[in-house]
Amino acid sequence: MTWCRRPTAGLSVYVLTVALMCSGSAALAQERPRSHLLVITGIGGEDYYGDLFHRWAVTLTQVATERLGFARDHVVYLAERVDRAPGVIAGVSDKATVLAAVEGLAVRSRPGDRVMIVLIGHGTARGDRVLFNLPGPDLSAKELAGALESLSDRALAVVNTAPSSGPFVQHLSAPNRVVIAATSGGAENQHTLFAAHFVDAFAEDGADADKDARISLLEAFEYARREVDRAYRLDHRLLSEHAQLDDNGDGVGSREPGAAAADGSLAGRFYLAVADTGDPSTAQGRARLALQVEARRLVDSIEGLKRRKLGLEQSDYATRLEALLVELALNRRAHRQGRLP
Amino acid sequence: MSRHSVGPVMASVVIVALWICWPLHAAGDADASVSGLLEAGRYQDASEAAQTKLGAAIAQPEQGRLWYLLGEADSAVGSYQTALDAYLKAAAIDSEWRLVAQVAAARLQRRLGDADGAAGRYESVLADYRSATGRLSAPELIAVGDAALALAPSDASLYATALDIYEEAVQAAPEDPAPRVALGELLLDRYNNTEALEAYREALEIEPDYPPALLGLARSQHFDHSRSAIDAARQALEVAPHSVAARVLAARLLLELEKYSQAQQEVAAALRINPRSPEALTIAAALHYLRGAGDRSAALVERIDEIAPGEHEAYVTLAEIAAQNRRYRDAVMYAVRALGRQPAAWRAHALLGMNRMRLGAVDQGRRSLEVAFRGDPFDVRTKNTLDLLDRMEAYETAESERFVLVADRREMSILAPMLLPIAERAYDTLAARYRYQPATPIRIEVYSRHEDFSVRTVGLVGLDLLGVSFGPVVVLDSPSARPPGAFNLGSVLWHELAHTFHLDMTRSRVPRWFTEGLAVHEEHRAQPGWGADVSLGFLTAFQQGRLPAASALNDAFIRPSFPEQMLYGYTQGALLMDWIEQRYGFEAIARLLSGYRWGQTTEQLLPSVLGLSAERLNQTFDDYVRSRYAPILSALASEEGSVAVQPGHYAQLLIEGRDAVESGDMPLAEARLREAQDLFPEHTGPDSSYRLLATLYTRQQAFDRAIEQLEQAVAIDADDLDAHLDLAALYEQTGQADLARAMLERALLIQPFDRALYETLAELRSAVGDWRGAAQAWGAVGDLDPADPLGTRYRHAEALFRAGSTVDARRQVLATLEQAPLYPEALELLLQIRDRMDVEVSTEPPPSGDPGTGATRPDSVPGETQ
Repeated sequence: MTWCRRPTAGLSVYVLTVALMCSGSAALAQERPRSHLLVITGIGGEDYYGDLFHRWAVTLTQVATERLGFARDHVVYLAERVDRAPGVIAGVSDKATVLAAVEGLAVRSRPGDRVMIVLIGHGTARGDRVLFNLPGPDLSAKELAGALESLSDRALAVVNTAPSSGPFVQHLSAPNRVVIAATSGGAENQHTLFAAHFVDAFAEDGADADKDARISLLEAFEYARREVDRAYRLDHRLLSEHAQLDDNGDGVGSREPGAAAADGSLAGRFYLAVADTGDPSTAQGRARLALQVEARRLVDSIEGLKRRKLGLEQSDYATRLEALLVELALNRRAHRQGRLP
Repeated sequence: MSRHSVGPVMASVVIVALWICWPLHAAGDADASVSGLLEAGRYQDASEAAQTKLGAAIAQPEQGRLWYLLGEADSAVGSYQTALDAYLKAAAIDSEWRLVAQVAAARLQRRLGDADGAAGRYESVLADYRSATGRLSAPELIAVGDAALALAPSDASLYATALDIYEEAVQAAPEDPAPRVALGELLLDRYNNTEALEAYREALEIEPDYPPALLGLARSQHFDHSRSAIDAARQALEVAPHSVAARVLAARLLLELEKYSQAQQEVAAALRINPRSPEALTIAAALHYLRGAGDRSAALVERIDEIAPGEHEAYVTLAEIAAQNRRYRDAVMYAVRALGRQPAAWRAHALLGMNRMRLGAVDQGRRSLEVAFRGDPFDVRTKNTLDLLDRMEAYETAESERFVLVADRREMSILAPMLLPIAERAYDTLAARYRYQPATPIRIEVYSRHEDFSVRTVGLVGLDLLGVSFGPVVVLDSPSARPPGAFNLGSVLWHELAHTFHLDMTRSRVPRWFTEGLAVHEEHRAQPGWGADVSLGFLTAFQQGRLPAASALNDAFIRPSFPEQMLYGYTQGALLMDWIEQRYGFEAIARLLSGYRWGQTTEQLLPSVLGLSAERLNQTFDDYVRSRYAPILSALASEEGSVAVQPGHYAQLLIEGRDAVESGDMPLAEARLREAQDLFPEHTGPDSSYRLLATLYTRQQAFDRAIEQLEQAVAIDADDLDAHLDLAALYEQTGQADLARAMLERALLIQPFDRALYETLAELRSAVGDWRGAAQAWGAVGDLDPADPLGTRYRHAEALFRAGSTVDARRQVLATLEQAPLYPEALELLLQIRDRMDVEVSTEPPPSGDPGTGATRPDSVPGETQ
C-alpha cells in the first residue's frame, strides 16, 4: 500500500548555522567543509539478509546524494556482491578493499571535512576479538581503529549497525569522533533493526527533532533508538539491542546521549547535509546573511527566555515568547521571500 | 500493603468444608466387625455392633477404639450429638485413639456451635503432641495435623505446622495412603494443586481404590477445570457408594455442568445416607436456588443452620456457586452471611471482595480483599487482585452518558473516543430491541496487559478470553494486550454489552450457552463482519459429530472436551439463535429470556416457547445446519478419510486456485476460486477465495473486481486487518477517498494503536477537507509516541486552524515553536493564526477589558501547553 507522504520541509534554513560561522569572504565559502560517506555492507549469509543490507545501503547513498547534497564522488558503497547494483557498488567489501577505501577517504578529504563510515551487516564478538563480518577475512575493531588514524583531523563518525557491535565503541573512541553501535555489548548478537531506522532518520521526515531542517547525528541516533524500541514493543518482543553513542572520546557509550549527558554534544553538532550558504559577496547575499544573523539572535533570546521560564509568571513568559516567535516568523518569511531588511 | 509471592509449599487455607470421612486403617481384632461394617457403609449396624461390644467386659484401650468407631458410625448418619458423646468417651480413655477422638470431638463441637470448646480441644491436642515423649502413630499425627489446620485461620504459622506434621505422618506410615491424602487436602486447599495431585497419586499407587484418594483426585481435577473430575468422583462412588462426601462432590460437579436432575439424584442419595449432612443439604439448597425455588433453598439453609449452628461453610459454598453462575449480588449476600457467623472466614472475605468488584464497587471490594489477605496471605486470587489494584493506579476514567470507561492512561485518549460512542450506540440498539434498560452507569474496564484482564476476571492468570461481562461491569483486553490485529474491539464490546442486558434482564439466570450464542447473534446484527463465523474447523467438527447437541451446548462452555470446542460453542450458539429468530421470531427469544428470569429451565422452556422437546430441538437444529451448509458439508465429507485430497473438493480448489494465481494462470485461478467461493462463501482470511481473487484482480488491474472481493471479505470478517487495509488502499488508488477513510476507521477497531493508520487517516481526512476529523487523527498520532513529535503537533495545529479552532491551533503551534523555534511551517502558521485573530477581533466589538490585538494576548499560555 502506498500512502501519500507529506512533502519534505524546505531547505531554506539549512544554511543558517553554517552561514553564521562563515565570514563574508567568497574564498572562505569555497573552503567550507565537505561531507564524505563510506557505506560497507558485509556478508549476508542468506539472500534475505544480503538483500536487506543492500536495500538499506542504497537508500542511504541515495539520500546522501539526492537529499543531503553530497557530491557523487564523495559517496562510496562497498558490498558483498557487486552484481546487486553494478553502477552503484564501487567494489567488493573484502577487508583489503575496505581498508583501502578508508585510506582513500584520507586522500580525498581535507582536514575539517565531515566523514561518516557506516557498517551494515552481521557481527560477532568472541572475547577481545570483535569482528564485522566481511566476505573473506572479517574486519576487527582494532584493524578499523588503526585505519582511522589517517582521518584523525577530520570530523569523523563511525556507525556500526551490526549485532555484537557494542565493543567497537571502546576500540574506535577518540577525540573529535562520533562512534555509534547498534548494541550495548558483544552478547547482543541477534539480527539488529538499528540500521533500518538509522537510514530512515535521513530518508524520512521524523528525525528532525528541533525542526531546523537539518538532521544531526544525535537526532538520527535518537530517532533510530526510539523506533527500534517501538518495533520491539509492538512486536511483543524483549528488546535485544541497545544502541549507544560515544562522542567524548572516553570509550564509554551512552544509551541516552544529549546536551546534559556525557555524550551527545559533538553528535548534536554533526550534520551531514552540505550547506548552501549563498554568495556573501553580493548585496542580496549580505542581506540574507543579515536576516540570518537576526534570526540567530532571536533564537538565542528565545532560548534565554526558556531558561528563565521558572522565574517568570506564566502569562508573562507566554507573552514574551509569542512576541519573539512572531518576530522570528516575520524574519523567516522575509528571508524566504527574498525581501531585504 | 506489600504482598509477597506465594511459595509452592505454603498454599494455605482451609477449612475442610468437605470432610472425607473414612474409617481409619488397622482396625484391631476386637472391633474388626465394627470397622468392616463402617467400611461397607452399614452405619446403623456398625453403631449397634459397637454398642453391643461396649456392653461386654473389655479392656480399656479397646473401649477407646470402640467409642471412637461408635462416634464415626453415628456421625456418618447425622447423629452428631450422640457421636460427640461417643468421641468424648473415647477421648477420656488412655488409648492410641485418644488424640484422634479428641479431634473428631472438636470438629463436632464446632459444628454444633461450641467454637470455644472446639478451639480448646484442638489446642490441647497440639499441646499433647508437643509434650509427647514417644512416637505417635500415623492416625494420631493426622489428627494433630488436622488440629493445627483447624486453628490456622487465626494463627497462619499453623499451616506450616500442619504441613510438617502430615509429612511426619507420611514418614511414620509410608505404606498407608491416609497421610498422603491428608497432605493432599492441605495442599489443595492452599491452592497448590500440582503438589496436591502428586500426593493423591502417591496414595493411589499405594492403594488404587482408596476412596479418599479417588475423591481427592476428583477435587484436584475440579480445581483444574478438568472434565475428568466427574469420572474420578464416579470411580470413588463405585468403590464407596455410601460415601456422602463422594456423592456431594459428584452432585456439585453435575450442578456446575447444569445437569441439575442428575445432581439432585446424587444429593438425594447422600441424604438417604445422612439426612443431616450440612454439605449435602448445601448442594440441595444450591440446586433449589439455581432452579429459582428461592423459598425451598432458604428453608434448607435454615435447616443447615439448625444442624450446624457453628459452621459458615454452607454460605461460602453458596457464595461460590452463586458467583460461578454470574449471580454476584447473591454471592455478596452469602459471603456477608458467612462472615456474620465467622468474622475470620477469610475465604468469605475474599469472595465478598471479588464479587463486590465484579459489581463495580471497587473500593469496597478492595477493602474486603485486604482483610482477606491479612488473614490468608496465601490465597493467590486475593493477592493477584490486590496487586492488580495497585497497578490500576496508572489507570484513569472517562465518562459518557451511561458508561464509565477505565483504561490505562496511556491509552485513554485513543480508546475513549472510540469505545464510548460504540457503547452508547449498543445501549440504545439493545434497549430498543429488548425493551429493557439495564441500570447505569455501566463500567467498562480495558486492560493493557492480558494478565491483568485475567486476574480481574478470575483472580488468576491464564484465562483465554477477550472480554467478560459481570453485568454492571464489562472487562476487556485492550488490543495492546494481544498481538497486533488479533480482534475487533468494537465487536467484543458489543458482545459483552449484550451479556450485560441478558444478565440484568434475567436476574443473571440466563444459561451461559444461551447468552453467548445470543451475544454473537447481536454482534452479527450490529455490523457486517462482527461476531464469530462458521469456519471450516467448525463444520468439520460438526460433520464428525464432535459438537454437543443443541440442548447440551452448555457443555462446550463449562467443560469443553477439546480445545476448540468453546470457540465452536459461540458459533453454534449464534447459529441456534439465528435459527430461532428466523423460525419463531425475536419474540421467542424474548420469551425464553423472560422464562429464565422467572426461574424456568431450558428443559421447561423449550416445549412451552418453541414447542419442542430437547430431542426434537437437537434433530431440527441439526437438520437446519446440514441444510444451510449442504454444499460445503458435502465437499468436506468427500475429503474425509481420503489420504490425498481429490480434485473438486474444497481444499483442492483453493490449492489449485492459489497455485494458479502464483503461476499466473489467471483463467484457471479464477475458475477454481470462484467455484470454491460458491461452495463456502463464509470462508475468509488470508487463504480464502476473496483474498486470492483480490490479488488476482489487482494484478490484472481490475480494481473494481478486486474491491468487490475485499468488500465481501470484510462484510463477513471484521477481524481481518489486512483485508481492511488492502481495501482502503484500493479505494484510495481508485480515487475513492471517502470510502478509504471509512475503511481505515473500521480498521482502527482492530488495530487502534497503530500510529501509521492514524497518520494515513489524517491525510485522507485532510484531503477531503475534513479538518476536524484530521485534527482528531493527528491528536491520536500525538498520543501514540510519534516518531516525529513536533511534526505531529504542527500538523495537529494546522488541522485545528483549518477546522476553525483558532485558539487551540495557536496553543499547539506555540508549544511546537517553544521547542523548535526555527520550524518554518510552524512559524508561518503562527503568522496566519495571528492574521485570523486580528480579523476576528476587528470584526467583533471588543469585550470589556480587552487589552487589544498585539503580538500576544492574555489567553496565550504556551506554558500550559501539552
